[in-house]
Amino acid sequence: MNADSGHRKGEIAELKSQLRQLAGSRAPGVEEVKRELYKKVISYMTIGIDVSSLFSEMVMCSATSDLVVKKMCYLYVGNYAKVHPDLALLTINFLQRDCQDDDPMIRGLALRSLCSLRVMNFVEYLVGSLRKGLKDNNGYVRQVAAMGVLKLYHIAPTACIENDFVATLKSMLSQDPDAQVREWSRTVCVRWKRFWFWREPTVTVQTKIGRCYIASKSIKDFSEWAQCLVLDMVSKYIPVDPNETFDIMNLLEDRLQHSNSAVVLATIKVFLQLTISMADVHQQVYERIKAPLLTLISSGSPELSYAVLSHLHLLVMRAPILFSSDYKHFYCRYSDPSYVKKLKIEMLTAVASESNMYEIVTELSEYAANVDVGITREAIRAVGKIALNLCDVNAIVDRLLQFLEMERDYVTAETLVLVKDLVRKYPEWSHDCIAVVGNVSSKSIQEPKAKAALIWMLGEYSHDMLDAPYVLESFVDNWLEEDSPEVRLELLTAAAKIFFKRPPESQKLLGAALAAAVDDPDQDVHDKGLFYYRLLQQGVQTAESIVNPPKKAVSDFADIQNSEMRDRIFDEFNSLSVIYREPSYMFLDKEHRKLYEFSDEAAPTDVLPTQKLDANDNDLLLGAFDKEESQSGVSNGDDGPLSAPRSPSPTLLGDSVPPVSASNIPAAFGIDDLLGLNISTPPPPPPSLVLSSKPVLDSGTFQKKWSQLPVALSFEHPISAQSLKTTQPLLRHMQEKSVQCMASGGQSPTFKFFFFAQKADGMPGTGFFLVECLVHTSAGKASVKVKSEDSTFTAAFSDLFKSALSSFII
Amino acid sequence: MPVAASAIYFLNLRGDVLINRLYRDDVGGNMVDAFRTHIMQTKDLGTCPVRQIGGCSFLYMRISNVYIVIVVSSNANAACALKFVVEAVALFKSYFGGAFDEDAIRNNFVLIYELLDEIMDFGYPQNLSPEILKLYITQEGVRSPFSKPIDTRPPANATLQVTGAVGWRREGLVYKKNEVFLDIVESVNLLMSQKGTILRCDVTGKILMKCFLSGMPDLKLGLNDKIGLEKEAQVKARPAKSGKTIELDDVTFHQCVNLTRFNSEKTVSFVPPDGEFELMKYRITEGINLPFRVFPSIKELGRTRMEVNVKVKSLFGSKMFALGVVVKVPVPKQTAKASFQVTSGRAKYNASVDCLLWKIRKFPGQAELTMSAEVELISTMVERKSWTRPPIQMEFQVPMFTASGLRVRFLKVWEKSGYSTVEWVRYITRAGSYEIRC
Repeated sequence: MNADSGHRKGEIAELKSQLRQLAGSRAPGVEEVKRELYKKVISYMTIGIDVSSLFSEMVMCSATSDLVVKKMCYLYVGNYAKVHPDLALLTINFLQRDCQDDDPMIRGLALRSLCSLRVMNFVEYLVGSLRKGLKDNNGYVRQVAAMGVLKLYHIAPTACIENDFVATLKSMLSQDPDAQVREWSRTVCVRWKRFWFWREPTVTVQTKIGRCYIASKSIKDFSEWAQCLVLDMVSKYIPVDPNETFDIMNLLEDRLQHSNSAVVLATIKVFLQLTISMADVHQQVYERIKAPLLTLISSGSPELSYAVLSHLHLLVMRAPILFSSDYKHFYCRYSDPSYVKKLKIEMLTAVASESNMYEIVTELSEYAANVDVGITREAIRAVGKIALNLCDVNAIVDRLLQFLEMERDYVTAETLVLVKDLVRKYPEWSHDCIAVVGNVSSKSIQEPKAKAALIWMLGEYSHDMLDAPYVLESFVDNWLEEDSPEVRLELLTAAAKIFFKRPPESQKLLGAALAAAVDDPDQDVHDKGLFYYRLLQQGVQTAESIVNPPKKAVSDFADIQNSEMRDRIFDEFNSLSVIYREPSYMFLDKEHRKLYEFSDEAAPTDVLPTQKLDANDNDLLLGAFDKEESQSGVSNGDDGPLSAPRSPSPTLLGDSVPPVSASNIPAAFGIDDLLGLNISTPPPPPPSLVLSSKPVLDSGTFQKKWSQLPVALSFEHPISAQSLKTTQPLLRHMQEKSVQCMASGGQSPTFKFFFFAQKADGMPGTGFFLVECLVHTSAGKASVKVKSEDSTFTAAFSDLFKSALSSFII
Repeated sequence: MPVAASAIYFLNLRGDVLINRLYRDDVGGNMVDAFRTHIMQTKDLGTCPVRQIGGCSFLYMRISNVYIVIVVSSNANAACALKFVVEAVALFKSYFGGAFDEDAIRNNFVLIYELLDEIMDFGYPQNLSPEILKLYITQEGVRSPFSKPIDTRPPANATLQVTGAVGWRREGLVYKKNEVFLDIVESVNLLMSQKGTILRCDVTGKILMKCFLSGMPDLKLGLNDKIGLEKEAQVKARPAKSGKTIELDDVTFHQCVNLTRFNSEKTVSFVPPDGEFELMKYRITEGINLPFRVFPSIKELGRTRMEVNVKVKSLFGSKMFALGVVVKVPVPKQTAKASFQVTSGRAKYNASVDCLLWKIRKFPGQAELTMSAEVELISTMVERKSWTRPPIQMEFQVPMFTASGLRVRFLKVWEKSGYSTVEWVRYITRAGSYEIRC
């Protein structure tokens, strides 16, 4: 290693001296030598060797007429400028000189490199060159300059504003002398999108809308990639009336025929977002976009079809019926990569309906015989899900039971879990199922979930299975070898349940189970063991009524993802959110992200602000809750109200507590009381709210917060605004009530406002309330959506807001 | 959200960096390490082409022995980013003369840096059209097999092209002989059950063009698709000619096609790029003429023997023939040897893919060929895991046949100088994923 690095050092030193020799030389052939040397430097740079020590030599040699050498030099400088700003200063001179070159190619390249240096100190040098670039007579240079403004904005936003670049760009956008503004008015659009939030106060939403409209009219003049950006912008636009929506859609309809999948998806997003509030048109849009989407999944690389399928999945979840006749498109090919297969199986599950169920289940059964273990499992799970979602399960039960006969461990395991869920939902099938389950050899099952499922069924249907006590006995005998607490907990419950039904055969069994449980190292198992023990002391009847009460069939299993979440993902159509299936704040914000980080990466040590922590906890809780529901659900029916023992409760198990007689436990409520769960305390009265008179919130933060926070409250409120012609009166009125306006727009009879307010006593930067308010003057009402950073004050704030609206008279 | 790529990496299979280009500063420097440890070294490599590590999302694709990885730190447009990679690879291929692998990248890395500079700026995709880029990215690596630029104009004009209205074609092209080649290439996807019922069948077709035309020609293409014909009949106020018409499920066009005119007049009119390009793609699910039917019968005789009988019937016209027909019949891993009887072609057992391969160089139309094989299996001591029978797969090419029945009715070329052109039209149908369960 040492020798190697020494060797490298030697090489770099040699390069250095060679470059130095070349610097002043004008000998013939020197350009070729230079090119070779530069290539070497760049290849070192690429593989990660630090060649920054050559900086001054590289710059010295940069005077060349060879375009390729120049480009390599720019690349080199761009790479090391950030780490060596002092040295990079040397390059400014020659970059600026190149910006004046006769050749527009070189002018453009130099300007691009200059803007890409991204060093704060260079801003002053940059501004001059940029201004010249924007007025260049060559379109290529102007395009580069436009992009340069965006780069400048990222390192020094103030410089952008001071030099009024935005105004220049705007005028370029609308009246560039060059007829071929296509390529670079696009770049302006990019910028414009970035900037619109901070320009909001000066440019009203109205003109922005106009622009959107113009942009979509001239969309054909843009390159395909630029079209994606423009379409993305259009999708954020809220049309004034339905006619405008139709106009835009008519203009854009041909984009669905574009060969670039990115353009097609962007167009689809526009269609979906524009029509989101027009239910029947929205349905028609689904019909229209179906064919293009199905084309996209069958053409192109598997990676692309994966991205498209993810989007299709989202749509299918929203409108399953619409796609139910196209289920054949989701049949897997043998050669599909497994990530595509997995998605297709999910899709088949989602579109399954009474009419196509038989075909789909047949097809899924084929996959269950697949070589790939992962896909087999997915397929079986899918069959189970379809069974749970549809009422006519006749054919499916047979299939599932056939899986058990395939005698492959993972198939059996997966199927057992499903059969268990199935009999919980359809008790009428339990007899058929149990007959087959009874034949499953308990030895062949290794997976904890499957074991737990089998044990649950043994306990629950012990009257149908003759040898149930003996199977359970062998499980209890191997108590110590059983690694999973989940299985041991289940075993304990099953032992108790079987005891209630067949006491003579299983008394010993229960005794062994209880003894083992009390000695168990796992806290939950230990507690549950003791609990059962004491419960049994109160009499078998009492114990049975608690451990094994009569159960009702489960009507619905909880959905994994709630619909609000799905809506938020839908808002972020055509982005990573759809692929990850979570709104962007979940994977972009640090505080959320840690949940998804790899475990070997250290957890962040900084203390989170309490506010965020709360939200975080809620999410965590939500997640846990969902899991509990959708998971085996074993505890659900058996334990009834007794799920509490899983969380250790010192009150019950402490020795000082005298035994409570059974008669003292009349109802579940008593138990909760007993366990120290104080649920009767009323929630604290809502605290009073005072709003800050001068809240400070910039538009960027507003946008960020808006996208992060869930809608806390939405309501409609009457407003007397029949004669409202502009947004100003309401703005001023709300300002008096300490509610500030972030953005507003619209035309009579519909106006839209974004308001915000802040708690007076809150820390700076916290306690914000964000409001979206749609005013329909003709209907005399306002639809309001409130998002709040402090949920305790949401109600108080909305009351305030309502009263403010009520007092508005024009 | 636009793409906004923070960086793009080219890695070989060991995870060495071949090319890296940072476009933004919002990602750290150890991205390659993260990719290596969390994606390349995990077993489940095939899980997903979009992965998240830390705060960054990695969108990657493997092409031959190279990984192309795009790193983004925002909620980027994934479909667009992946499409960009696909297009970029096509661009590199056209520069390297078709090959794209580690060697090609190592040999052309300066060129790739030059291209990366042009095709993406600050993380936004720019012009990726090879035709235009080749005008001003001119290293030794440039090879344009289709067009020999007759006039070498100064690069000053090239920059105009970058922003030009017809971004895909430059002006002033001159050819001595004006020719257009039109290839209609269809691939048939089939999934058939054991019982011979068609579970799924569709055709994805594309029309490839090779243009060697002078000036700025306007082209108009007529097909026998239903909507187009009906529209024509309407305009000319005469009944549509009888004959087969095709219903296209969905069509997409190259950016040169005037989509407005397609929507209003249902004609495909365009100013073509120079050289080769893909004019349109289409998809059809109804009324497909299958070129082949396969009747397999596989019997397991005891634990060490299998009997395989496959009958293949060609359904296209007797004057036509298929080329390069391969029938792949999967057999268990523990196959020892196989003996064959075929009515045509050659068959052998290929242990590396666990298949019996039956190859027929030329398969005549309206014919029926069979292969029967006896397969011997190694008897194993352990209980043999039940064999999951993968589907039989077929490869073939049938020239002058379209499974959809699509035909070109006319191709009109109009240029202001009024030269005459020669048009060549070819049809070919290939197997896409042609699977028969057995």
